[in-house]
Amino acid sequence: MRNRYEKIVEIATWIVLIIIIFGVRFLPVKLLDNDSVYILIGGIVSFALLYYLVIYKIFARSKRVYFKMIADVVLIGVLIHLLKDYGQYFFALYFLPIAAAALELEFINALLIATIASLFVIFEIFLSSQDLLPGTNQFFSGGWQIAIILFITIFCRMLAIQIRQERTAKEESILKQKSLELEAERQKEFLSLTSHQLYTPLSIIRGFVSMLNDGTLGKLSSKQSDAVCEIHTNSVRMVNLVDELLSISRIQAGTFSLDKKFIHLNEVVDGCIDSLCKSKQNNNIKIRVEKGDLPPINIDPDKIRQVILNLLDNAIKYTKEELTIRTSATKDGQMVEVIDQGVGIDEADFEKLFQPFFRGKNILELDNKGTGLGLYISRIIIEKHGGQIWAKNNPAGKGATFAFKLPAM
Amino acid sequence: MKVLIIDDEKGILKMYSEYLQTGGIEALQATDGQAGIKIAKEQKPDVIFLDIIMPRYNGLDVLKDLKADPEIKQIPVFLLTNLPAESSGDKAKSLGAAGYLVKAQYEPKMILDIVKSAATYKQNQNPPGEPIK
Repeated sequence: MRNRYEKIVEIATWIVLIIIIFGVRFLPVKLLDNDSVYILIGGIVSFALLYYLVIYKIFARSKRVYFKMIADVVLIGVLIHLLKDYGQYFFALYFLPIAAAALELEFINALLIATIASLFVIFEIFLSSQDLLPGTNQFFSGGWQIAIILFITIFCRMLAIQIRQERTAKEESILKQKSLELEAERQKEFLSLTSHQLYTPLSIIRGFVSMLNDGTLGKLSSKQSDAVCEIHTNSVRMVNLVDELLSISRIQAGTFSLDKKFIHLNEVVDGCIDSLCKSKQNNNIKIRVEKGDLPPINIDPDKIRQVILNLLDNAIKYTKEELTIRTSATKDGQMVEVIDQGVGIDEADFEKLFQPFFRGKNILELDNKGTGLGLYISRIIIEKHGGQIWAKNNPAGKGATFAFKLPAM
Repeated sequence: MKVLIIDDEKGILKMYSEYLQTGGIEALQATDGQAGIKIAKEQKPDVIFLDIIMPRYNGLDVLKDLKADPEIKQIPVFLLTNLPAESSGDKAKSLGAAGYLVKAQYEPKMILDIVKSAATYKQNQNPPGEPIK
């Protein structure tokens, strides 16, 4: 499209130029001497060759415009010089190559270039008029003509090139954006299918083992029961690991999104406590729940559940007797705190606690089965909600508190 | 009380059916969508659990057909799948599913709890179990 317009107008330029030259030559009044016309025709043919044979063949597209621009300036200069007194009326011819550049652009940009070029040509004619500037000699007037032509040419060409480059960059960025969106969609689909394939055998293992564990499929001996309990705990761990790895993949693929709705935060906390009691039934840790009076809040309940479970799971690893989970209202939202009675956090670890694959020195001594991704995923989830997550040591060295705040809106 | 489970994975059918039967619930099974719709029309179960990824007849299309049939459209249908909610939750909601459950997160006991609360749902028309995404 772009090349077609450019070529049509370029060819039109040459046709008009040649018609004018022959028109001038065969006018009844002798306007020019014969030599000038022949030199003019020879010059134009030379430039035509220069344009289409030399410049097009030798230079790459990006450099070609600059050489064409120089050739245009020289050609117009020669034309005006040879047309002598009538030269100034033919400046407008240069509108044709300008129009060629402008036609590639959108209407407003093309209009801008054409208007600027017109203003300069009018200005040039005004300056070169002997009547308006009495006392100026022909040399001075010719100097102005060349300077103005040079200025019009360079300015308009540069403007056209810049606008063209900006438009190309914009088109490329739209294309890139579209291809990124397509890639993200493919990744999302891939992750959905991967999770389906990974979860399907796991859900069957977990389900049957839970049935063996709770006696649905018959009574087990003490040793069998212990073995089944281990399998059950580890199948739940496996599901959680797959959850974590899929969350990380979604974060890296940029497809990690929230599915928000208005819900009571206390209901989410209750759900977490319920599932924790089921999976940690052999554990003797007491979980104290302190619930504040909270209105519904716009959150992704599954993701917030994942955060709370992660914080509780970490706290259980440290605590021997009791831990507390507390919900409360803040000035601009709601807060959840998980308070343990463990060994606390090493001062050097605070900075890296919420980084991926980081495992605190104190927790490595107690448990080496985690991936170091839980707190990182929790941070991403809370930040996606527009909230904050942090950790601090409790006063008097009594364990640590992990807390997060969610905005009301 | 009758529950219909539509799933192409035989292990899943066996697992949930056995657990529901121990809770005194009759579990009907279908390994594909067409058979599922046929059983739903003939047996009129109280609750339907429906998988999404199945050969030939996708679970979401089955849901659409179940909800288009005036005889069975009032039966609560829970999608019970291993596809994450973010991929099909919205579609399921728009098609009239009562809930969206990820199998790996729901042990058979939790499914039994949902079936029990579905009985309450039938009486007072409040959506049971896990709220839909």
